Amino acid sequence: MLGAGGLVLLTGPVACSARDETRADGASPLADPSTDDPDVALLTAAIQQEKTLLALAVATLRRHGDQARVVQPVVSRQRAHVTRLTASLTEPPALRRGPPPVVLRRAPAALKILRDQVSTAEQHRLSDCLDATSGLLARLLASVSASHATTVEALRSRP
Amino acid sequence: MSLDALQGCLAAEHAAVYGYGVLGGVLAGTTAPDSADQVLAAATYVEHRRRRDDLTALITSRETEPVAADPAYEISGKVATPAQCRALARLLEDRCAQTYADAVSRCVGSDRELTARGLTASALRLVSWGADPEPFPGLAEF
Repeated sequence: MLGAGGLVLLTGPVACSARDETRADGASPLADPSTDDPDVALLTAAIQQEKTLLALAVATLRRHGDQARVVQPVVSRQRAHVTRLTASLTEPPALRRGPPPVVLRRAPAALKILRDQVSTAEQHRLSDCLDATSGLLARLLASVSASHATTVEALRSRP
Repeated sequence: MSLDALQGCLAAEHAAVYGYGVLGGVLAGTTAPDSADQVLAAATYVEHRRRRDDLTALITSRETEPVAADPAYEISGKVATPAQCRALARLLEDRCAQTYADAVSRCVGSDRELTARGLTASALRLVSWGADPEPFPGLAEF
């Protein structure tokens, strides 16, 4: 299902929230052209943060290649998050370019920073989930938040 | 809509409590009392009971009859070894994760937060039982 207002309705085998339901005339509520859709702003900010986190994970992997067993899966999941969230918008979001991430020389310290940033993202996506108007967007954000939680644990328990 | 979603979560918790009872019994007969599997199974059983009781109280507080547990649940596959117990635990958590994710989309406010946290808890337990972390826990379409 496509929404022309900036959001692509996320399909899934679930019932939808009232806002996600298709109207009797066949149009999706999200199909109303509205650049003011709060979900679009919420999602754009989320993508920006997830891309920043992806950049940090990639930089950490480059600097600490010996930690690839732990960090490569983080990069893969993070890339999937950015791709899926971006696909939820009908147009690529206008993102600002941030400074390149700084990765510390010592691997344990670098991994702790990565873990802390993933933990922060977990909380932000949960907060976004609660703020989202679309139930299906909330579902996606809750899942991303849950994924971050598992990443935090994986980074915490690394050998 | 929220109430239906919460009833779905409660039904999933009923099934999880039953399933952990089964695998806990098998683990008790096949592993040492303080084995990691038994400790994890016991803690998870307690956690699912707590969530079941919390959901029951929440639904009751809205003057609605909470969905009852089935007398028994069909468990696919054999559960006789620790490895099979871990596989069953992963299955139970995966189903809970999907149910909670579904509920997130149908709830708002505090109910949405409760179900989102339920999704996270199941995703974490899935990993504790040996599953690889996933990019989209609870979303079967990915």
